[in-house]
Order: sequence, then structure tokens, then C-alpha cells
Amino acid sequence: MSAATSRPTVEARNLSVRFRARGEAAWPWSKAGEVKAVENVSIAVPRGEMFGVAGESGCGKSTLARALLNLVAPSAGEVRIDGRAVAGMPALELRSSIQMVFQDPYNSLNPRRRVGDIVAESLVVHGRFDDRERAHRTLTMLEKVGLGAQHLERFPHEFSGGQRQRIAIARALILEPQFLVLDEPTSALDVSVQAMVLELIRQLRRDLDLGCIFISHDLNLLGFLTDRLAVMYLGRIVEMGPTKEIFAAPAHPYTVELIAATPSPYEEGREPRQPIEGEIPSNVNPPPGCPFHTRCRKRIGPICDSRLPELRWHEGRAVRCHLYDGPPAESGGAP
Amino acid sequence: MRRVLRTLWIRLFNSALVIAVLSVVVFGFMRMIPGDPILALMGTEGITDAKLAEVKKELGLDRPLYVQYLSWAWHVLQGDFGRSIQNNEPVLPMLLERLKVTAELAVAATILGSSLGILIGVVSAVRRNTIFDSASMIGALSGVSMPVFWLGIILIVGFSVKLDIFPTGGLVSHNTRLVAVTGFPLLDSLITGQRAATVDILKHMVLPTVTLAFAPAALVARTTRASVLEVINEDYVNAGLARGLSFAGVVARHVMRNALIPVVTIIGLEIGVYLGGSIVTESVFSYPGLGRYMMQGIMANDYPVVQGAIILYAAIIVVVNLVVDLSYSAIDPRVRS
Amino acid sequence: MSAATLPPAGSVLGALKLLAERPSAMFGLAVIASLVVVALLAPWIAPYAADDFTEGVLEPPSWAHLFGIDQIGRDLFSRVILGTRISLRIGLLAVGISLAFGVTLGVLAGYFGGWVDAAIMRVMDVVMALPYVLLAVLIATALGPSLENGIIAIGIVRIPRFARVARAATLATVELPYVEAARCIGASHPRIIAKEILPNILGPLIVYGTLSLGDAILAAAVLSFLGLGAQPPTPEWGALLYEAQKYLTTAAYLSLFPGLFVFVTVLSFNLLGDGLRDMLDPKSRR
Repeated sequence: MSAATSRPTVEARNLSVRFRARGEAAWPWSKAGEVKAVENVSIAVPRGEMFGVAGESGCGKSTLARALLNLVAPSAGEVRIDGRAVAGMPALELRSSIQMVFQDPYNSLNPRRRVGDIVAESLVVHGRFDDRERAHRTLTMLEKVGLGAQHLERFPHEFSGGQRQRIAIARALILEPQFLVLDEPTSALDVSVQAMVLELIRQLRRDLDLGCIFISHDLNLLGFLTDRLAVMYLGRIVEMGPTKEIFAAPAHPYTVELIAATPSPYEEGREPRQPIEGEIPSNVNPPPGCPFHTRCRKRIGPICDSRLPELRWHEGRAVRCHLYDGPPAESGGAP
Repeated sequence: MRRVLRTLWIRLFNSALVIAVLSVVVFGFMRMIPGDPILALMGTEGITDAKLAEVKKELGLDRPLYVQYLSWAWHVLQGDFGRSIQNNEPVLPMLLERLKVTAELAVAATILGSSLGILIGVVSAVRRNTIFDSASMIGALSGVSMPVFWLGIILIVGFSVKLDIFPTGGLVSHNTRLVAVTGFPLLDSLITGQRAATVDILKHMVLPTVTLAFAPAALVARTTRASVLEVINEDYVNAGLARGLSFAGVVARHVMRNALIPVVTIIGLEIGVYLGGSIVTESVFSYPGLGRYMMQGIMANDYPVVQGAIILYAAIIVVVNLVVDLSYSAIDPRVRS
Repeated sequence: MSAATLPPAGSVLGALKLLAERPSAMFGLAVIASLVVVALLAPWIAPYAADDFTEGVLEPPSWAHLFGIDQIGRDLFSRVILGTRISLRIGLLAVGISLAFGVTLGVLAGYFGGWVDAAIMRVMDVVMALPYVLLAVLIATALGPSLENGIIAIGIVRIPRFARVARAATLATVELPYVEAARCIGASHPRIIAKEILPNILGPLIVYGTLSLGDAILAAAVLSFLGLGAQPPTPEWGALLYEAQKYLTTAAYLSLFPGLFVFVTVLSFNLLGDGLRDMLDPKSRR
């Protein structure tokens, strides 16, 4: 689309995902509430970039990840990869250009299949190569993530969390995708293991020239890892821009509080310093106006409860807050 | 309240749907049965095709299937279950008469099975891991595995043939005359004060009741035991003990109330087991209830009787399940949300 | 999420070891194993063929004829032994039918959800509205009384139960990340069901299948006893009881032994099934 991105890019354009609040399937026609998981989100991530998505649990970041892979269908807007709409793309073609690593390494590997089969499954599904070549590539891929031939015949329960996440990464990357979505890939791991897995991800991103979308609630981790960052609240992006600048001078009151609430990496294991006040509102009935106004310390007046602020340019980034009145930034491209 | 009403309507609609679909299935099945009811009725000897066609026309069996079904269903809705092919009597009064006999048997079995099951279950739970517990749980599993008809046979051999305490079968002895008032034999004999008849009916009821109650008692015992064990460790039990209540007192006052909710549900849902079991039990004991009547209908290819009996069975089960469901949500507020 | 899961694959021996801690389950397993041996070797164990006539009529049990001689002079022991084969085959075939259709329907309902689920489970509800003896009687009647039709009837009757078990297990599995991971690499629905779902819902299905084997054999005996299943002179246990019924007062032993075999067989499958369930779902253990 825009001139700034000549490289292959994965983009979301005005993406919204809403679910029916699910109950029993007893009455197909009965009305249920609607969960607005993702509302009007636009991002663009070129190959080679490490893009972070931050937010508390329930802010829609995992749903955004799934929508990028067409694992959930968008209610409005679209996802494009390299300019082509994902919705119409043949499934296998889409799957070989973008892949995903899931949060929970203890449940993301089928407990009844051998590690070699789990990793090779991607190639089998895509009908790529013959058995010998598949075996060869599986082994090469396992070695790339720090495992070896001795692991091929084992079952997932024989591995530690960190090793399992390596297997999950191998399964995703054996298809040689251009883009990789990582949904809290280290949040279930011990701190010491986290660092090694993160280092592996960094190194693979460099070697394979991947475009990564890294989703996490851990701002420290995103600050250290990502080039650009989007902060989400109740399904919407409230601030987006270069990670360094956001950390240096957060603009949106929510970003400010989020960073303040994050323990510094040097005081490991301590409680967050200043937890954000108030409950996260329900995304079935989000508050009117600015979604954050119920918890915001910098409310400026009735406008906050009545009108949804637009995303506007402010000091090299996009911010959704009535405090700022720069030009509209709805395009969502890189600033 | 509106919510409760809404749930009620949905359940009612659901139940009606189940019965409606079932009626189609039953109707279809009955027409699949090999063999012609007319031939079964009149014998194959000396019957001409013309005569056969005439009888069929008279009974409405010459019309297309769906017309037969709709006409039957329409009449059923008005309480007219048709006439028996065997003896041309209206089906519904006969079904109800037999149902009353089965109902007395089933109620007796429910009372026996539930009280015995609850008693054994509670004692097993309270004396967990004692010999009584192990023995009664092995007994309960045996009860679930016991072929109903075989149990009946064993009881007949033991108590009728060898010991000659109870009769081998039937509702009453040949020389007992029953006066019908309500149609419930035992109740009628009590109302009219025929003590001899009451005793006779009860004697005939003992073995079928035990036979019918055995498997459900075993199930209730297992459920009660599990449910009491679930509750017995909760805080209010310890609190009661701390307040100085005796253990038996705590069990009686607190444990039972909370533990019995699932048990009551099981007993309610057992109605299907009782009705299914009554078919077999009535066959073993030649007991003239609904199950035996239906089996006779099946043997004679008597469509209206069998269809009517099954619809009746289904209606009873659906209604009982509905009542159990609704009362369950009334007892336990947690279910309501 | 409380669906029973098997211990990690490749440890049948480990499973046996776990089972060995439960004497009642091991007892069930031992009885079943001997019944299987008896069934396989029946023609060699039984001293007579099913329709051989021996000396005498309605003779009570003796050393020559362990279970006695029936009303037309056949050796009951031989007939009961030969019936083992028939009854076990009935159990396997009937449960096979229930399993095939029930699991297919249940997995489809659980996997696709929505109206597929609603439609399938509504039909299952209708089938479940009747007591299953009644339904089996109805189907066996409609198909005509015979051993094969009895098997079909019993198989059909249990389809909804298997569908429920399979659906519940599928619902617990389908939400797990590895299923989503399989979608993510582009696996088709049939492949996901075959490779990701089915192997992981085997636990509850094995438990329920074991319990059902006993129930199916019991139901077959009931049908035969009502005259709707296996027909005399087939030495199916229920049919033996049907024949023996007329001689209750004169030759009770004719009813005793076939019934005892039904009872012990059903009990063994229930013991084994209960043991398996406790083993797979530690929460139900007491």
C-alpha cells in the first residue's frame, strides 16, 4: 500500500473481531451478547521487523494474533499479506507465509505424537517433499532450535517447557514462513529459560529475516525485544510507535500507567509498583466514549465519557486520547 | 420469574418435540414389522384377497402411510388412541388400566429401592473402608450387573417353588375378586376394605417389587455414597462437630440435606430404568401391567396398542424428567443461573 | 477439562501396572480373559455339540453332565460353553456399531458445534427419551426377531450414549492449543479429527466401551429372553433362559447356570470398566 513499505508486509486494515458470547448450543436462534474483542485495529509489519503488542489480559491481543492468521474470521476490515487479502487466499498458501507459536507449551503439542512427527506434520500437510527429504529437513530444523536426532522419537511429556517451546518454534518455521506471530511464547516458562528462548527467537528472526509480531503483557520484555510497539486496551490500539520513544516518553495515560506498573528488571519477582486502579470494563458492554475513561487519572472532562478519541499523530507516534490533537492517523502504517 | 417461565416454556416445547419425533419413529417402526396384522388376527386359512382388502379398508390400512400417521396423531392429540386390532376395544382405557397396575408396582419399587439405596449409601460413606462398606459396594455393583429376569427367576425358584412363601406370578390368586373403584388394584382393595384381597395383592407384589428395585437400589447406593463423601469433608460439617453436635446429628442435619440433591435427581431419572425393568419383570412374573400388555401387542402385531403404549411411556418419562429438572433448580439456587 | 486422559502413549505395560493396584479390576480382567479363552476354545472344551442328544432328559447336574441335561436331552454345560462365544461376539459387534456411529456423531457435534451440534444432539435426545430396553424391543420387533437383528437393535440403542461421551471428550479437546496449532499449519478438518482429536479422546471411550460390553451382553440376553433376539435352538445365554423358563418348577438348574454366566460376565466388564475409569480420572478415586 504505502510507499514506506516496499518490503513484504503483513497488515491489518480496520480489523474488528466480535464473538457471540457463547453458551450452550441448545437454541440456535437465541440471542447472546457480543464480545468486541478487536475494534478497528490497523497495523503493518514489514519483513525483518519485530513488532510488539502490549496490553493486559482480555485486551484482544490474542484475538488479533488469531485474526492475522485467519484462525478467527474478522467481523469487519481485512488482513493482507504482501498486498493480498488473506480471506481469499488458498489455505496452504496462507499457512506457508505466516505461522504462529502459542502461549502454552504444555498444551500446544499433541501428547500422543512423537516430536519428529509433530514437526514434520507441517510438511506432510503441505505435501512438500518425499519422506527422506522431510526427515532431513525435520532434523535440520530441530538442530536450528537447539534439539537433535536423539529427540525425534520422544513424546512431548519427556521435555521441559523451554524445550517444548523450541519444538513449537520448529513446527512453525519448518514451513519457511515470512512472518511469525508469537503469542506470549515465554509467559509460561521459568525466568531463566525465558531468556534462552528469547535469544533463540531473536537469532532466528535475524537469520531468516522474519517479520515477527510478539504479543506480551510483559513490557520489560517488549522494551528489550521489539522495534515498534502497539498498546491495546479493550480491543483498540491506544498508542503505537517506535518502542524506544514510547518508553522514553509514553503519551497515552494508559501507557504511562502500564509502564509505571511494570517492575523494573532489576527488582525481579517483586510486586508491580503501582497497580492500575479499577477493574477492566467488560468488552461485551464497553464504556461509552474513551474506553479508558473509567480508570484514567488524566480525564479532562465530559468529552472523555462521550466521544471516542481518534488515533492522532503525536511526536512520531499514534495516540488515541483527547489530550492530543494532532492530525488523524487512522491509516496505521509505520510513522 | 420471567426467566423461569421462559425456561419452562422452552423445556415444554422441547419435550413436546421429542414426543412428536418419537411418534413418527414408532409409527414407522411398527409398519416395518414383518407380518400382516390382519393375517395374524384372522389366520391364513380360507381368506380371500377381496376379504383382506375389505378388512384393511375398514381399519384404514389401505391409505398412504403419511395419511395414516397424521390421522392417528390427530386422534391421539384428542385422547383417542384407536382400537386394538386384536379385540377392537378402545386402546387408551386399556392402556390406562394396565398403567395403573404398573404404577403401583413402580411406586412400591421406587420406595423400596430408594430407601434401601440411601440407607446403604449413607452407612457405607460414614463407615468408609470398613467391611460393611466394601461388602455393600460389591453388592451394589452386583446389583447393577444382575440380569433383572434372572433375579426374578432365582426369587421364584427360591421363594415360590422351594419355600412356597410367595406366589410365582400374576396380580391376584384365581379366587380373589377385585372391585374396581379407581382402577389401582391395591388402592381399591384398601378403599373397599377387602382385607383378604389386600393381603393377596401384596403377596403377589413382593417378588416383582424386589426384582424391580434391585438395580436402582444399587445405583442409588453408589450415588449416595459418593455424594455423602463429597459433602462430609466440607467446613460446615466440621463446624457442626466443633459446636458439639454429635456425628450422627451432623450427618442427619447437614450432610443429608446437601448430599441428597444429586440422589433425588438420580431417583427421578431412574424412572426410565423402572419402566424398562417393568417390561422384563412383568414378563417374568406374568404381571398384567403396561409392559406385558405391550409385549402381547408386539407379538400380535397390534399397531395401535404398541404405538399407544410407547407414546405413553415416552410421555411419562419426559414429564418426570421435566419435573425433576425444574424441582432440582428450585432446590439448588446455584443451578438457576 | 476433566476428561479422562490415557497415560502417555506407548505405555500399555505401565497402564497394566496401574490397573494391578486395583484388585477388583484385575479380577474382572482375569475373568474376561478366561471367558475369551473359553470362547476361542469352546468346541474343544465342550464335551458335546450344541444339538447333540445324550442319555436322559431333564437330569440334574452330575459329574458326567456338570450343568445337567435339558428338556430334550442336550448337555447344558456344552451349550453354555458354546454360548460364551455367541455372547462375547454379540457384545463386540453391538458395541462396535454403537462405537462407530456414536463416536462419529459425537465427534462431529463437538468439533463443529453450532447447528451441527444442535441437530445431532437433538436427535440423540429423542432416542434417549425411551428406556433402552423398550427401544431395543421396538427395533428388534421392527426388524424381526433374530440374533443379528438383536445385535443391530442393541447397537443402535447405545449410539446416543457413545455420542454424548465422545462429544464431551471432543469439546474438552478441541479447545486445546494443539488443535489450534494443527489448524494453524493448515491441516484439514478430517486430518485434525483423525490425528489430533481421536487419539486424545480414547480414554473415556475405552472406559465407556468396556462398561458397554457388559451391558450389551445383558441386553442381548434380555431380548432373547423376551423372544426377540437369538432364537432357540441357538445356545445364546438369554435364549437358554427363555427355553428353561417353562421348567422353573421342575428343573431350576436349567435357569441357574446360563444366568450365572450372564451375571459374572457383566459384573466382570463393570469391574474392569470402573477400574479403568478410576485409573484414568484420579479425581473420581476415593
